[in-house]
Parts: sequence; C-alpha cells; structure tokens
Amino acid sequence: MRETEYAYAIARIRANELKMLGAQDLERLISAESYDAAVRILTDKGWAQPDANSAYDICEAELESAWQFISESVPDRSLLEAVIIGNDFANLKAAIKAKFSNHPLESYMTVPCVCPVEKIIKAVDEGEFADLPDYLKDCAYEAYHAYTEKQSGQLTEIIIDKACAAYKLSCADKAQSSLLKEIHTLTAAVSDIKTARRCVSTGKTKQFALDAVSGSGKLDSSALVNAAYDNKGLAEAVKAPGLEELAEYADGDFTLLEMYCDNLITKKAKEYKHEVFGPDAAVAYYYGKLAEIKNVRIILSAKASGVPDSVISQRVRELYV
Amino acid sequence: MSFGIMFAILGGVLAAAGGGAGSAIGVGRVGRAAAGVVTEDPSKFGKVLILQILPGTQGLYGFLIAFLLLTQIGVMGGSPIQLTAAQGLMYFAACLPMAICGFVSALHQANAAVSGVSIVAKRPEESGKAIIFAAMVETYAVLALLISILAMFNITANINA
Repeated sequence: MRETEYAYAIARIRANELKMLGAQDLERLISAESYDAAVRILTDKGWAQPDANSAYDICEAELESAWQFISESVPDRSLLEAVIIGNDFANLKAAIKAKFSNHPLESYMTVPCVCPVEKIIKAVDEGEFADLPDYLKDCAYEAYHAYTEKQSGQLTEIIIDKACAAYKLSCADKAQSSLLKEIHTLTAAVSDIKTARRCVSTGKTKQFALDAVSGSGKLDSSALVNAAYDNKGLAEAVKAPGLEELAEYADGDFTLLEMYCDNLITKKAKEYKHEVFGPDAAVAYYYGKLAEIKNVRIILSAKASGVPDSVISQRVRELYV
Repeated sequence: MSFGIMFAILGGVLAAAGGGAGSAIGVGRVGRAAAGVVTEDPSKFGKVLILQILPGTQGLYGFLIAFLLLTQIGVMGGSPIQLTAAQGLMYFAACLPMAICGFVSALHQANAAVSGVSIVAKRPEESGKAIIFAAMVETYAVLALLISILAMFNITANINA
C-alpha cells in the first residue's frame, strides 16, 4: 500500500486531535470535586454519557469510537487491526477462565476487537475452535486443553500470551508500521520481564519460565530467566539496544514498570505526530487515545474511591497532545 | 514529416505530459488530505482548497510550453517549418526542464501542501504559512518554465536568422 493513500485518514486524525484531552483538561479532571463532576467534564468534552455510573462504559465507548474512526478513515482497516488484535487474545483468555470458574463473562471481555466476542465465547463453550480465525485457532485449542487437562491457569495464559506476542509482531510487519513494531517489541520485553519475575515468585521451575517468556522482544530469553533465578537482578539482562532505560525499572515495582512502558509508548507515538503519510500516524493516534483513556480510567477510579488529588497526579501517564 | 519536427513535437508532448501528470497526482494527493479535514470541519473548505490548487500550476506551465512550441514550429498554424534533426533536438532539449521539473516539483509541492493541510486542520489561523511553505516549491517550476521559454525563443531566433 502506498503511504500517500493515508493522506485522508491522517488529515482527519489531525483535525480530531484537537478534541483530545490536554494537560489542562487532565488537571481539571484531577481537581474535580467528585466522580460525578469529573464525568461532567468529560461529557462536556464530547465523551459518551455514562451508563449507570460505570466509568468503564465511558472509556470503552470512547475507545470503540476511536477505533471506529480510524477504521473508517484508513484505506485498509485490516492492516491496522494489529493495534487491537491483542484484545482478541485477551478475550480468549477471559472466555476460557470464565468457563471453568463460573465468573460472569461480559465484564471481562475487551473491545474493540477483530473477532466477535460471541464467536470466541461459543467456541470455548463448545470446545470446538474450527470457526475461529487462523491466528486464534491453534492457540485456543492448546490453551483450552492446558486448562482442562493440566488445570493450569498460568500455562493457559502463557500459551495465549506467547501466541499473541508473535502474532502482533507479524501484524506490525504486514502493516509496514515501524511504530507498531517498536511498540510490540517493547510490550513483549516488558511482558517477558514480568513473566520471569512471576515465575520466580510463584516457585515455578526455570524450564517453565524459559518456555513461558515469549522471546518476541529484543531481550535474550535465557539471560533474562537465568538472571531472575540467580537473584542477580534483571538490569544487566535487560540492556538491549533501545531499551536501556528499561533496565532501571526491571527490578522495581510492577506499577512503575508499567507506567514507564506506557509513557515510553506515548513518547514514541509523539515522534510520529507530524507524519503526513503512512500508517504510523494512525497507529500513533490510537495509542495516544489509549493513553488518554487509561488516564481517565485512573482518575475516575481514584475519584470513585476517594484517592487524594496528589496521589492521582503521580499515577497519571504522559499525554499524547 | 521530418525527424526534426518529430523531435520538437515529442519535447512539447513531454512538457505537457510531465507537468500534467505531476499536477494530476499532486492535486489528487492534496485533495485526499483536504477531504479528510473537510469531513471533520466543513468550514475549512476555502483554506484547504487553496492548498489543493497549488500543485496544479505545473500542468498549466507544461501546457503553455507545449502550446508555445507548437506555435513556434508552425504546427499550430497548419504549416510546419522545416527543421533539421539537430534543430528538432534543440527544441526537444528546451522542453526538458519543464517536463522533468514540472513532474518532480508537482509531487513535492503536493507533499508540502498535504503537510499544510495538517496545519490548517490544527491551526487554521496559520493557513497563510502553510500556503507559503507549499508555494516555495513553485519557485523551481517557474524557473524551469522560464528556462524552457527562453531556450525555445532563442532557438527560433537562431533558426530564423
């Protein structure tokens, strides 16, 4: 696909960026008197009206409309499905877990997604995966049997996460988006760090950890796992080109690691903010919206539970605009 | 018909086709971006239209060169002058600046104009600057036009002398 064919989509995106929440809007949200006041600010900015006081409804509606907007603007939406494909794997994970734990499924399903949620639920309910798209079929079968035969929720997650990381990178290649590739490499690396540390803390064997890490990022899987099991700290094993800063957070709090990852994604997205051709500007906008929505979720959840403004300010992520 | 006339006409065709093709691609490219902005905010139509028109000038310049050439060699009047192959090649060469620069500059001007459309989308009050950025590329199309015209008139003067 010619990069210039994205001119229409990117011009629409630039016009829409004006509607995104800026630093001042975020300050207003943080200092809002109450949850309801914060929601009012959002609805004034054009966000959907909340449904039964649920913060997540607003955020999901906003994210869905952002995806809808991108998919109707870009010349070939299938190329940009890579930005939401992770939700299909998350939904598969939720469907398998919910089936065997009798949890209400709806609240765990993530939108927007490529494969309809009902299709995934039906496949998992019937234990028959032939109707699922090719990218889900094999890992769904494997993960389902890992759960039913070995009763291992963790193994199920690992199978799905690994398949997801590998497929995301192949999608990024297909979309010819260097930004998407960078983002997926970074998130795969962060996910591997978390997996290695979780395997140590839950007493899994080193071999289990080696099988669990995706290896889709830039990190050396065996060096990472060895460092985690030798209690040497992960900083040295994480020093891959382009991920130098990650080493600072590899041994610390998971919350800080996630926050660093989110901020780095936004920083990378900002580098493509002035592109006028190619898919990267559309990808950057979507990740910018994700950052915005994540901030709104953090603020609304904190407001609902009475967290002080100063604490909320420390938790919010960097903004795209 | 002599080889000379054939070379000269080929030059005119190239000038018109190069400028025209570049302009068609360029205007179309900016049009896509302009449509994107107008979809979101129809009030910006006037500002993006100016940007869309800019890469269209190379097509006009190419047409002008072709028209002048056909007049100079008498094809337009129905009585072509006799040209040697060397004279025909001189006319052909005179048309090349417009053919090549017209095509290339139209594409690059379109890219600058698409960036300008992004400026208009976010800061409509700065649309004048967006137009200037795109218009700067025009300089080189105008220079190519002048060179082609000067070369053509001098060739005709030398032939008639």
